[in-house]
Amino acid sequence: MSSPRLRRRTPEPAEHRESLAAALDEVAAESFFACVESPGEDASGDAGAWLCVDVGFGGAFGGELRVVLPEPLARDLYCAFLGCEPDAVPLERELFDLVGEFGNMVCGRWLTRTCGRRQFQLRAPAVRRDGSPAVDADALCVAINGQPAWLRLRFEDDA
Amino acid sequence: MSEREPGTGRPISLLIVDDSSTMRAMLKRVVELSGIEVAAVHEAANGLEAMAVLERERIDALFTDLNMPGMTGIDLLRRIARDGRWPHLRRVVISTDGSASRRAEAGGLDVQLYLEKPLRPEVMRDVLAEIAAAHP
Repeated sequence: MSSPRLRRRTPEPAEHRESLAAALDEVAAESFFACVESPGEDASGDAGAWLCVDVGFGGAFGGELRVVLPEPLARDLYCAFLGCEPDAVPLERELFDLVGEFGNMVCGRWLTRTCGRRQFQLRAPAVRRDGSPAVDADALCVAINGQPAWLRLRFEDDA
Repeated sequence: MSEREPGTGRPISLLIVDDSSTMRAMLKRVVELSGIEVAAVHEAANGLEAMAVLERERIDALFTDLNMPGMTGIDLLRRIARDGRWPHLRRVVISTDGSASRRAEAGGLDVQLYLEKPLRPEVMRDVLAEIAAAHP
């Protein structure tokens, strides 16, 4: 229970690097049977088309999580999630739905761990293609199953 | 867990409510692979669609997400609880929101189990087995 006299402090994205990485690890392992590692040199190659999902959140504090990953990785995650053959080709709407759910799970897990007893709300994920995404300076760069991906948090100014 | 319907001797019917078609497909796949005898698996993309299914089908267990457009899972559970026509319906929440406050809110709406996403398939399988066992 916080006093209304106390102003909430807007968190800094860097404060949440570890907890965001932990949330990603858990989601990747538990539902997608995927391994998250530090990005190696071989994980930064040309991955073709990229998909980007933004998941907005509010409640204890407001902001947005962005997850960016190459389309081949999204297809791998789709097949692992549904237990289908690795060469299965999902429709675009299925791939977008999967990427949205992936972002939703990472954001929800991170907020659940971060907010404690405080309530939060998640907005519907917005997924789009991104031809050549520039990696944000404060992004968390990883390799998922050996393929590059990055995540970054933004917080709304609480002023 | 007192809402049992013993002695019906029929396979269970399920309703999966989630705005993600991929999540619904994953849960259906776990049901298929579980080996548990299931009469039907119905789907709905939000609370409103779920209410329509409940009105026309006999459903034994409801698995619902919370954060959905149209009618949320909490609104759906509230409506079911207030209506009173489905006293034997098993209610399970599957949500990315694992906060204590949301769990408490769902607990006040006759929810028997609250599962957090990401959900391990084996957890879902165990829950199905428990529901089927309570429904001989």
